[in-house]
Amino acid sequence: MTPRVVWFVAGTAAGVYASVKARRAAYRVSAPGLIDQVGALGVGWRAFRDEFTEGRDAQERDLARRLSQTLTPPPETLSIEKDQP
Amino acid sequence: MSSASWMLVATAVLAVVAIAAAVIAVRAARRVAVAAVRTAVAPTARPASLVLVENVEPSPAAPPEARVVEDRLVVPPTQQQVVSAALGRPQARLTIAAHGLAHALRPESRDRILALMRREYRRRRRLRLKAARRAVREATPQAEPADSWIGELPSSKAVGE
Repeated sequence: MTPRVVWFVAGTAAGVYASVKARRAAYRVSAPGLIDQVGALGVGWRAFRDEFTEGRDAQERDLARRLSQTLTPPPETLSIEKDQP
Repeated sequence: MSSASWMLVATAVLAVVAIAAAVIAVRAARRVAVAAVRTAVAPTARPASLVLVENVEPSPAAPPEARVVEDRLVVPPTQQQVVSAALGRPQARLTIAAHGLAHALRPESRDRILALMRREYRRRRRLRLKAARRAVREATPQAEPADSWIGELPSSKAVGE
């Protein structure tokens, strides 16, 4: 008796799971599902662009700061140059 | 090529042009809306005491002196000009873009973007299914009362009279 119940429950669960998955897959390939996926893709693209801009600007600021530090001579050098005739 | 094929090609071209025009219009409208929101929010959102300062160190106040070297006028560039020229080189621009790409593709950003996309898809699907259920409910004709098959009872007639 017990194995039958176990098999019945397992079969029911598998059927429910498969039907839900199949319904979602069918919606995914339907026209409204495709439109929704395109909308989600647009959201992802905007987020990706924001992240890209943020990283690019940070790197640009960092490079500019390092270049400025490289180009600025240290104050000791300036004082020595001034002291020399 | 038959006339039907020509019509098909013309329709396809028209559809492409219409889609391109729609995309351009949507982008322009979004840009205008964002600009309007920024102008509306800017005075209230930012206190007057806060001042945005560039992270780059300012160039020296005194402009560099121009000199004549071998009958040629030589004007040394300012520090800002040197920095922008160095950052404008293709190699530097490529490096900066690669860094931005790496920043956008790091695991945290990638997971966040994928989660955003998944959430947006589920939200749209949920809204669409809800609207479909509501439409079906409104389109279904109202059911008759359950005891309509009985008809009018003689007792109720007597009471009415």
